[in-house]
Order: sequence, then C-alpha cells, then structure tokens
Amino acid sequence: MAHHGHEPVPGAAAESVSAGYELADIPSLRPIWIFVIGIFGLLIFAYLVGVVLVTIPGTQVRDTSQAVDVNSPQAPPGPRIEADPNVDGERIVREATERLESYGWVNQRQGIAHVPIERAMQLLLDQGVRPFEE
Amino acid sequence: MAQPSRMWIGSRVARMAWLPLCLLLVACHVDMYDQPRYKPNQTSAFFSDQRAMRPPVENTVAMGSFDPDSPLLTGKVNGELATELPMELTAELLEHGRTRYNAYCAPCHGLTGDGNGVIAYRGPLQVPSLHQDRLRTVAIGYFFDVITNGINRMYSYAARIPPEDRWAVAAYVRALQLSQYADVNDLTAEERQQLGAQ
Amino acid sequence: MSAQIFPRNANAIVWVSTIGLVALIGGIVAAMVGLYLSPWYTDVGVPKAQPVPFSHKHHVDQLKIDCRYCHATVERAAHAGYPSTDTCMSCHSQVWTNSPLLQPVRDSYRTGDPILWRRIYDLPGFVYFNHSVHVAKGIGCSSCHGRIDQQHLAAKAQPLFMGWCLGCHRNPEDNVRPRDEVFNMAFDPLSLPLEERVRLVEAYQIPTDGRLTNCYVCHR
Repeated sequence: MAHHGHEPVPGAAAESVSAGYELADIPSLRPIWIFVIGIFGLLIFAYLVGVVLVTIPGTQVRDTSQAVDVNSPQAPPGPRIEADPNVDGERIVREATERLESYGWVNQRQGIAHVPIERAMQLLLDQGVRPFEE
Repeated sequence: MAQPSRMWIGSRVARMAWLPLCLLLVACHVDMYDQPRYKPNQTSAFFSDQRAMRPPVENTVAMGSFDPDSPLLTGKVNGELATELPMELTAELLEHGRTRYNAYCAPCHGLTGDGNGVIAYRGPLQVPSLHQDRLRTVAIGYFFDVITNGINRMYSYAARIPPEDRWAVAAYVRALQLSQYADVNDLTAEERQQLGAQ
Repeated sequence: MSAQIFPRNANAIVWVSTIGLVALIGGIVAAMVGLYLSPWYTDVGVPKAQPVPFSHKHHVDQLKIDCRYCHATVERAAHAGYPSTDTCMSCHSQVWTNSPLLQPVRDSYRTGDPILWRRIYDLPGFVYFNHSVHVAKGIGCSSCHGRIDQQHLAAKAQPLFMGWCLGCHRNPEDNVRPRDEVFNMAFDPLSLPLEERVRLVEAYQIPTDGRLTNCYVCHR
C-alpha cells in the first residue's frame, strides 16, 4: 500500500503499530475528571468570594439619593402645579358622572330640578327638541 | 436483495442533499409585502407635497355633501335655524349622540355640559356652559351650526362628525339641558318625593 | 505492517466536529428563530421617533380624551385615521400655543404641508384589515394596541403574526367585549365570565362556523 503522508507518530504504542491502527483512545479519564471538578470548584470558589465580598461590613452599596445635607443651603422646590395629573382628570370625570346620575334641586322655589341623564332622555322623547319656554 | 436496493435509495437521497441550499435563494424579495400602491396616510415620493392622499381640487365637494336647501346638511329651514330634527327623535339617536358628545365635546364642555371639561380645567379655558338661558331657548339648529362651522375659539368639527351624528349630538345637548333644568311638574310623584327628601 | 493512516486524535476530532456541526446548525436555526421573534425584527415595544413627541399617556390617561377624538374614522372606515393638523390645532390653538415641541404642528397648519408621522403598524400589502368591523363587533382597541394609554411614545404591542390574527378569528370569545367598553383601555375582556362572552359573540353575530378563518377574509 502506498504511503499517504501519514507517518506513524513517534511514541505510538508498539501494539498500535503492530495492529496498524491506534488502539489507545484516551490514556486515562483522570485529566477529564480533574478538569470537570476544577470547573465546578472554580464556580463554588467564585460564589464564595462573592458572598464574602457582599457580607463584609462597609462594602454595601447605600442609597444616598435621599440623603440631605442639612448644613448646605437648599433651594426651595420648584412650583408643583399638579402633583399627579391623573387625579384631577379622574375627579372631574367622577363629579360629572355623579351629577348625571342623581336627583337634586337646581332652584327649589321655581320648581327646577336636575335629574339623571337617562331620565332626561326619556322626558326629551316626550317633549321634543324645541327650545325651552322662557 | 434488500441490501443493494436500500443502498440505491440511500445514494439517491444523498445526491439530493444540495436541495436545501435552494432556500438561500428565497425570502429576499418584499414585492408582495410592499406593493406598488398607496395606503391611507402614506407618504409619496411622486407628489411634491409628499401626500399620497390627494386633497380635492379647490371648490370641489363630495357627492351628496352639499345642498344649500337641505336642513340635514345646513341646519337651516328657509334660512332660519331649524327648530326640529331632520330625522325622528328616538332613544337610539340620543344614545348615539351621547357617545359622540362624550368623545368630541366633553373634553372642553364637560360630561354635564357645564363647561368644566378636563381640557377646560387644564387649559385653563373659559368654556361657556350649555346651561344658560340663551342656549336653552335657542333653536336646535344652532347647535348643529356651531358643530359644523365652529364659533369663536371652537374649531369646526365637520370633518370628524358626519351630519347625522351632529344632529344626534344636538339632540343629546337638549337632553343634557333638560337633565339640569327639569320642571318638577313633569316628574313622577316618586321622583318628587326623592327630591323633597333632600 | 501498513503505515498509520489516522493520527491518534482522529476519533476525538470526529466526535468534536460532528457534535460541533450539529450544535452550529442548531444554534444558527435557534438564533434565526430568536431574531425573528425578537423586537429587533418585530419592533414590538420599540417606540419610533416622531416629528412631535406625542404622548398617548398624557392625552388619553391624564386628559381623558376619547380615542375617537383624533382617530375619528375608526368606526366608519377601514383606516382608523391619523388626526389632521386641524385636529391637533383644535386644542393647541388655545393651549401650549408657544411650546417649541409643537412648532412642527404650527408650521404644518400655517403652510398646509402635512406632518410626516412615522407609521407604527405596517401591515403587509397582501393583508386586508378593517378597523370599523372589529370595533362594531366588540373588539377593543387594547386587544391589539395594548395599553397604549400608558405609553408616552407609541410602540407596537403586537408583532402581527398571522397565527395571532387566527387565534382570535378561531376563538373570538376570548377577546370580545361589550360595545360600550371598546374604547375603555383598562377593560379586560377576560374579566367577564365565558358564558357572557359567548353570548356577546352571538349577539354581535360574529361567525363561529369557521368562515372567519377562510383565506379570503384577510387576503383579498
């Protein structure tokens, strides 16, 4: 058989040379186990280092955004026209809705009342859309 | 016997292995996705103002949208503001008007029509109340006219509210006025009792 | 005795390259699927810069303006309608009249040139969609547009995959709501019991015989 350029690697085992192919696959599983154990060991070690770093007193990160230096001059807060814009909108809608769902006097002496809008729509069906009498 | 035929099939399959490479040739065109036609509100590179939706030629009106003699479209009968609706007053019309009013009018005029809508409050804007004698005694066509043409600082809402809906809003405004100005004599005894309790 | 053909690590190379090839192909496929589903491709939740930084949260949630005030044709036409400059100016001729943010609006009103808003939902040309029928059949804005009333700058809430469309066309009872609540962004259809939603599907005459999943319903 012609040579294809693959010379036997120096150091090949005599059995492999005599068999004509490599017999040994991995000499030993030990290095692999050392590697796997090493990886996990490193993970655990890094975790422990992290735990130690976090628990050492004085290394915690503190929220200083609310800290106020009482000795420094403070500017008064800017004008706050609306602390929460939602509140006013919801109040206006709620009050108007309550008004449209309730009975009450507008002018008791003249006999004028406000009624729920549903009732007003009923009444309007009876009296039509002509202008109100003066 | 089975062995050679299985090998034959296997080699045939293997020879077709290049076919998935054809997938590289597809999915590179978006002609169907972006078809050569305009969608609403799209920009156009063709027209100088970049509008694909072309504004109508000046002094043109849409079919059926212009008739100076139609109370439905002008709010007027013989030049005078209409005092009656051009359609039948029904509960559905009022309910429809209510949704239109709450969407288009309530931001300024308020849900009750007292002129204290959220926008009026935030503006702050002075919005006239609908519950004043002048507006209670005005013809219903007046509301239609104001919605159609605007008044003072109020813009026209004709582009957003079709004429039939404008009449529904006008009718609902009347209902709102009535809800805040109901004659006690029109109410039932039960309702009067409820009022008297206050 | 013949010469050694394979080097000693040939077996290892075969295994590594086989597993590597499988992992590479699998990884490429997974990455492509991931990219296809990600906001990088679908734009979901990615706001676009607009000529005016319009805030839906401010106008809808805080000022309580109805959707239809600006998107006026949503109940009548296929297209919900971008508001015209006139619509913006019906308020902003009165409020915030000097705001520099609104300069493009005032320029547009003065010159008549349109404001070039950037489209958020770009349906493919081969898909037909009609807003008015969905609104009329009790499908709320938020079912497709999400809680746009909580967004400052508008962004897509759905990638608009066909399977998503079909999900609702197969089971409309999962998304139907009373017509009164269509424009209520906070309403959750699932807060209604299933029987109530099935009743609404019937009352609004939403076809449940499979017609809604015919190809031509959307591809016409």
